[in-house]
Amino acid sequence: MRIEISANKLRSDFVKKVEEISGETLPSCYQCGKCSAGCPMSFAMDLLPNQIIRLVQLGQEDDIAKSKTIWTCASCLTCAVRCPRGVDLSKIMEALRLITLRKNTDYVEPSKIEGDTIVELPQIALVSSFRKFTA
Amino acid sequence: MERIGVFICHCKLMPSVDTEKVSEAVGKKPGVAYVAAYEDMCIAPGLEQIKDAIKSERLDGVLLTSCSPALHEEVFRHAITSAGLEGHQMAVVDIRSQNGIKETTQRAIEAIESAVERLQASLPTTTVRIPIEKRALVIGGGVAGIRAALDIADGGYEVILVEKTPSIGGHMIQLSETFPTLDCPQCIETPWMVECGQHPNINIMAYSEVESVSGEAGNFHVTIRRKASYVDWDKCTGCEECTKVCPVDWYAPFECGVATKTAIYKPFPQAIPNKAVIEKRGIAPCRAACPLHVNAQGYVALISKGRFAEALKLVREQNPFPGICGRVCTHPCESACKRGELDKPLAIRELKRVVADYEKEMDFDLSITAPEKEEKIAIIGAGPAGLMAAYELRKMGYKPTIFEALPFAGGMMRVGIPEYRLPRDIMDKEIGIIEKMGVEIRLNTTIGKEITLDDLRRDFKAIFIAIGTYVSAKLGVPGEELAGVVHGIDFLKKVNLGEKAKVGDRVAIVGGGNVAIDAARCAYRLGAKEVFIIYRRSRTEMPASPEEIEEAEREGVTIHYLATPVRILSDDGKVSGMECIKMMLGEPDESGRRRPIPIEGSEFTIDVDMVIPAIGQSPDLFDVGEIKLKRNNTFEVDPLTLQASEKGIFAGGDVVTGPNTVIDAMAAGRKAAISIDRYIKGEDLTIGREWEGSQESELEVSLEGIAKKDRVVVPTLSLEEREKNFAEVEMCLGEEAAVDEASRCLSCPGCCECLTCETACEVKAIDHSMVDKFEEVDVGAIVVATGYDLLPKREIEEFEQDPDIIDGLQFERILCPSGPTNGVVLRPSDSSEPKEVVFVSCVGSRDPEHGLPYCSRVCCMYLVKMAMLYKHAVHDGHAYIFYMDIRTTGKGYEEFVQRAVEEDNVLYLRGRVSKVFRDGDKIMVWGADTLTGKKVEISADLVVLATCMIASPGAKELASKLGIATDEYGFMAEIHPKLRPLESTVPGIYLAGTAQGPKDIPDSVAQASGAASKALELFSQDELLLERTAT
Amino acid sequence: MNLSYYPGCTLKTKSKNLEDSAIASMAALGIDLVELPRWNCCGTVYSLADDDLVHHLAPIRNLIRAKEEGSNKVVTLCSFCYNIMKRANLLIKNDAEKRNTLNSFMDEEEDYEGEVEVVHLLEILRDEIGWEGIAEKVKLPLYGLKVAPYYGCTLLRPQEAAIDSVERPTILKQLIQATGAEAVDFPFTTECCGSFQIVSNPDFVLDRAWNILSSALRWGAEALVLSCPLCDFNLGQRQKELGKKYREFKEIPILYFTQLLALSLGLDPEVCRFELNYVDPRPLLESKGLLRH
Repeated sequence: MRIEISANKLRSDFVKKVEEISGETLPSCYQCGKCSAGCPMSFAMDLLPNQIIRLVQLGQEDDIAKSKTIWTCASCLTCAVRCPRGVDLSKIMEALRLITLRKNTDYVEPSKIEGDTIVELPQIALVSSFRKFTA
Repeated sequence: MERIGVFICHCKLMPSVDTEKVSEAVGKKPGVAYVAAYEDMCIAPGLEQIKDAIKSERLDGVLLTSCSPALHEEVFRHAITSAGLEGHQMAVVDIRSQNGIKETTQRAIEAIESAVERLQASLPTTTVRIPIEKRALVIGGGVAGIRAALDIADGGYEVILVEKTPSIGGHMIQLSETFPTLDCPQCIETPWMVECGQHPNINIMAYSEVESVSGEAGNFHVTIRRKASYVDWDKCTGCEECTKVCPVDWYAPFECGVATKTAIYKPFPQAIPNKAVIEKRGIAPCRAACPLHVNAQGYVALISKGRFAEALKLVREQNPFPGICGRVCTHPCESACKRGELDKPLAIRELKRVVADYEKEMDFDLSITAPEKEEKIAIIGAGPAGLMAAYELRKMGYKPTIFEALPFAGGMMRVGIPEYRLPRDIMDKEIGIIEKMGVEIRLNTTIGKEITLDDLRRDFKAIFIAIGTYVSAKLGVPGEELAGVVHGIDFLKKVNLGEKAKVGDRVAIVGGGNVAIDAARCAYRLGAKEVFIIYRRSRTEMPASPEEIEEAEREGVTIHYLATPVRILSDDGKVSGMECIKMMLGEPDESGRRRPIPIEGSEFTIDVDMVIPAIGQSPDLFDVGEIKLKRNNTFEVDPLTLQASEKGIFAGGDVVTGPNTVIDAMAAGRKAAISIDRYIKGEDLTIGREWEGSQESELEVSLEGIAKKDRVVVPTLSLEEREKNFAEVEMCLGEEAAVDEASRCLSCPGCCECLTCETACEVKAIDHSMVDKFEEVDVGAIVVATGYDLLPKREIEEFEQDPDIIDGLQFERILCPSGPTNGVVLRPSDSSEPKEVVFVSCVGSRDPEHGLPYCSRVCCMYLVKMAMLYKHAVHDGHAYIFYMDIRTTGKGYEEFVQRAVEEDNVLYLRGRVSKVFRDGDKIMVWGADTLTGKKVEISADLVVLATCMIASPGAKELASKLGIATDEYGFMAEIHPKLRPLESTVPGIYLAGTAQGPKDIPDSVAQASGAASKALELFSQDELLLERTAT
Repeated sequence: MNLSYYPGCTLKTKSKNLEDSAIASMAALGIDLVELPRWNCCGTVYSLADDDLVHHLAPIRNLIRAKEEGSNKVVTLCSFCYNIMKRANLLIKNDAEKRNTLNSFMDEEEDYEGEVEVVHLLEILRDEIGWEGIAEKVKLPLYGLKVAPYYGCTLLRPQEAAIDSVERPTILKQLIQATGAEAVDFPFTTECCGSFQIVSNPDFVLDRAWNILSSALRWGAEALVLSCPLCDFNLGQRQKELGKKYREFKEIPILYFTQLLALSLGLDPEVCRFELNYVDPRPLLESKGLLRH
């Protein structure tokens, strides 16, 4: 497939928003892949963490929206502590989630969780899940 | 100066300055006679114009405003001096660095005005002619240092080549094959090394370091430290007879932790100088901790090579009782053993017993080399303290007499320690040696009965009291006087001296020391059905040896911790039981141990028919008159000399310390002997005695990369075999087991000073007393070629420390055909052939967050080379390289990589590695392949990390001695990175090779020749012309 | 000695075993954990968005409560609570602009500038009492028990909030050794359990639990010790499922570090509330002779 790279895409509102919310310097990532190599949830991801940040660098908002990766992230921060360039990928993941969530789209729907599950789970599971995945 | 000319450059690179305004302002300054603006002052036409102006305007001072003086000052100076002016009549002022700042014109005016004043204030100079010392110093004997030395030497000048390791060759000589030609570095470098060694102009100072430097270009004065190699190189022929007999294995840096060398060694066969060196870093912790300073490291090393007789001889140099101590010593050496920080300490005591048993027929050296002495010395007590004192004094030539109250010699060794721990024949034989040497032991002689202390004072020059402690401490509870209560030491005496000792069916021993445990285990053997030990603190506080406690438990002894007796119950005058109370641990008391506090209401009773209190002992002392005693009837003595309060009377062992160990008593015996000898000679008793007794060694040992290995398990008699007899429980280790256990030794200091090399050396070249020497040299130029090191793997924490996770140099040694495995690829942990090898690029490099930000330049190439060599060696192996980029900038490099990929099937995976750890037999590597977007996990047999190239250790210190700058990473700084990469920040000191930054061999060699040419340039002048202020 | 103590919601319900054993063992060590009044939910996860301030209010509020009590230190037990409060505290200390905005927003609260230090109980054990101090008070050394330390994420990441080395922590190992048990190192000791994915993707968590627990078992662990109620759930409660999915899986009890501590200090096992553990550790402890009746 082809993608368009142009000043429009590279300095789009999407990219600027990611930079603003995350506070990270996107060009610092030199795509070494160490984040993907150590990510504990990567086994369940369609796109790898380093691919996500690459797509952001290239302004490809749609590809990211189609992927489930940012919703599979557990915010464990392994990527952040190991990145040789000091890029905090977990913040970029959060920014990407927030761009969707702030449009009032939830990833997790609290009302659809079964009663049994709610009783079983410790509160911190529910609170953190809702904080990460709901508007 | 009256007539200064100001020349303003306004080339395109200069900031825009209103030259008219400047001319006007500056022209008004007193002393300024001429102002002109030129374009491009620094090129020939511009310079000509300046020269013309000097002449036509009769200028006596010149001020040039331009860019930085560092760029063109030389050129300008040349021009004005050729126009007849002198150096101090010129100045350059930089107005270009203000580029971009507002009001350039105003600033230019200000700068020029103050420069004019400075110029007017400048003092005349004269040219001083300094003769140049035409000799070069090259620091570092790697390939760069060697090339530089050869070039300068071939140019006709003397070179001193200083190298801190024992041989020149550097890291290159450690490598397997070099990329891209796959040359064997030993083959291509050794001809140069030999040339260096034979060149009439080159003086190689190996195993040496630069100590201090003063002076400047043309005249440096250098002090060089020639490190003690403990081998006289004038005599040494490099025959290596010594290495054949050295028993020590240590991890020599040359083998990078992959293999060991002997403590006396030649680094590699083609070493230049081809001489042996002894690695000796101090005293081993075990040897220092032993109260007798038995050379524990030495005998363990000899045992590891199966040389039992030599080992025993070494033990006997310091300890006449190896058979005894090898069974009962409390082994302070093992507590100090550094191996204990990794897994478990060496079983040093067991090993001593092994050689004592295996070589028990070996004659003891009874010779006395000291001249016989007249003075008579009395020793009271034939225990370990007394016997040792007698032995030491006899060796000094005296003839001491021992007075022993019992019918046997041996003291607590005979009375206290039961036969199943210390067989009588072993003890008799070793004690017998003392008598064979000529010491008289008068048995059945009690002081105060058969002979008095006054008799001894009269007939003997000095007296050593070592009577031990044989009076049992009382429990102080009701019922203690009953017939079934036998105190510990009295009980053991009966048992061990062969008298009839009866035990009840249910015996309770009170106490937690070795006497208590010995009594318990004797009771078990004498047929008691139940044996209890009641101890008032917890197991961790029990003073008895842990091994003894464990054996007692195995034999069925029940230990009640945190309990103490309250009363002994009787039935019909016989012991029927013991009431005890439970304790809990409170605050520590004066001994530092936690005070036991009874728990109210927790009394309990045990049914026993015999009680053996073993809670402490004190001396059974004769009348000592005024001699000072402490509480408990122990002697008060000077701890350094063992002198008691009466001159000429000394005391040591348990009679001073209270119940203690055999080895401490023996140490006291030796101390007393030294004191008595000095006393008799009238010498000072106190000087130079700090080393006596157990010491702590300050040696630091690295445990990195050493695989754990279990300590040997000592075979013992089975419980059935032990029942009702006193046969020795612990069995001697087999030969193989002993050698195996001894091989666990880390050889902490390197050389153990067993001195076998001295005997083996046919030219008597070995001198263990050598010290570092210093040499002073005068040189005119210095080339710094100190090379590199690799970032330690432990710095990158997400990669585990494991013997099979190695770095580049380690794998080079494994691949090297003349290396420790002869080029057979075996992995360090189990010497198996690895079939899956993963190579990891950029470990600690290109990593601003956790490591170093720069690229280490050579790793891409050496990893692929290693992968290729690995595949050539292991045809069915697989090689994987994780990379970010493949940097192949040299000639033939790109082609080399393609060959590896196409012909040798090396697989490149594009991604960095996040974690490397061991899982069972395999090393797991978590990486990624960003090209396919997959996380990659490889189960490898061996992992090679390309760790970042860093400055060699000691580079910073050397730079500071030379006065040259290093960059932020510790590499030597060049004065200009683009134009002058071979010159340090100090004239006359040049840089070559990886000391200046990571690079490969071709670049290092090229730089070396370049640095050499700089030195030759310096030497091509007859004198240095320097401008100095004329005074 | 008194220490301000922030429990967090889960400790009052599902993880009462963590709280009870903590309070009892600290009391035995001479420290009274005094619960903060009017504490609120910490918020669990620290907001990773630079433009988000509202999610910092919850943790900061708790710190203000501590400040009001006159405490200069507040101790947490739950790793999640520790992480969010520590990071929020760092934000307040280091970012003047955000500090001002937050303080002005919380106009009914005292101004807060980072005066209170946030510590995890393990830090108190290591730094204030010391491992030797603990070993001295151990009455029932847990000889023969092989325990694997498990840290999860929030105790050690990011670096500025870590209570120990990010890649090579030893604090739990030292605690285990101080209690007399044997610490079993295993490579997954700092690998994430899946965290809140348990709500949206419980199968992923099952996978994580399998990786972590099977590794611990392979390295010889008989029990796992940790500090986070979510890790406890993810690794503990999911073991039934694991047993169904992988035949070779052996159940492994999971203890809170304070339960281990309480047991070794000779306290009544009742305070440990073992009945709340997802995998009952009592059979294992019994077999080692470590359950005093």
